[in-house]
Amino acid sequence: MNARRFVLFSAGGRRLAFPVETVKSVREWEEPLPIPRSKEWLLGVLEGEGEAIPVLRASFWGAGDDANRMLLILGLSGRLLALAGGEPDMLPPDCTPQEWEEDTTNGFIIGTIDVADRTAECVRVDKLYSALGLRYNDTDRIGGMDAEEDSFSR
Amino acid sequence: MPEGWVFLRVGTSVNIAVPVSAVHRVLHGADEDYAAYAPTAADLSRELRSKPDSELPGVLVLLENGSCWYVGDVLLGESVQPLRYESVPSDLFERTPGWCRGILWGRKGRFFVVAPEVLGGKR
Repeated sequence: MNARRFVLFSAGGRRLAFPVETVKSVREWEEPLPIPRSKEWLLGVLEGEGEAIPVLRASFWGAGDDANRMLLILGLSGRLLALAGGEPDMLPPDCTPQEWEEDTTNGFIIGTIDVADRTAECVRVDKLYSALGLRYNDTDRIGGMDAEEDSFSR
Repeated sequence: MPEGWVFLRVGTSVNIAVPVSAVHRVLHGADEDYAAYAPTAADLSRELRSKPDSELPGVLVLLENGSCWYVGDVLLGESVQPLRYESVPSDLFERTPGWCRGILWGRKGRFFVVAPEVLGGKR
């Protein structure tokens, strides 16, 4: 399995790890605009560049209710998704997912990473998008999909 | 995207934008025809499940498609310029197509651009 780099992000009382190539930016917290009659997971939207950026509420991840301090902006084939949560942190470059437990949470938590005293749940972003019902161009092999599938394949 | 908009305050936190070309008349409480149209009006805050703002005066918006809507207030377009349009993907809504097609972001407010079929449902 290839070594990969991950960005850690805490949300909903959980520590999550995202492949660095799926992380587009990190923003200071700004209050999203709530949209009535939208999907339950949607906290609101942020101003983007031509298309509003959906914000996934922290409680989606579990019962924990973090204070929203930061926004982690993910991107998959040009489709952006912001996560509400705490401070992000970069894991060292030699991390690989361990203790694989596939399909434990709708299929997008695909393992854990242990580094020193830190453990994080590794998120497969394409499966997260699918679980949320977010459309993206899954025939587009640019933007981390190839790398994600290659290194997550067993 | 239409060039002209009528901006409506629907509730405490929801503002919407409707193309000028879709609006036939706006009736305030003092207008002579208000009482005649009021019984036929549908409450847009209820349709959008937003909290109504009791401090707003309440106006009726008659659309070219024949529908009549009760909203909190109408804003003058000049007071909310300039605005930047962004689309809102339909997959953010439980029911597709979603009721909102886009958002106009302005310095003095954000306005949901409503899908035409949402405003055409009541007559």
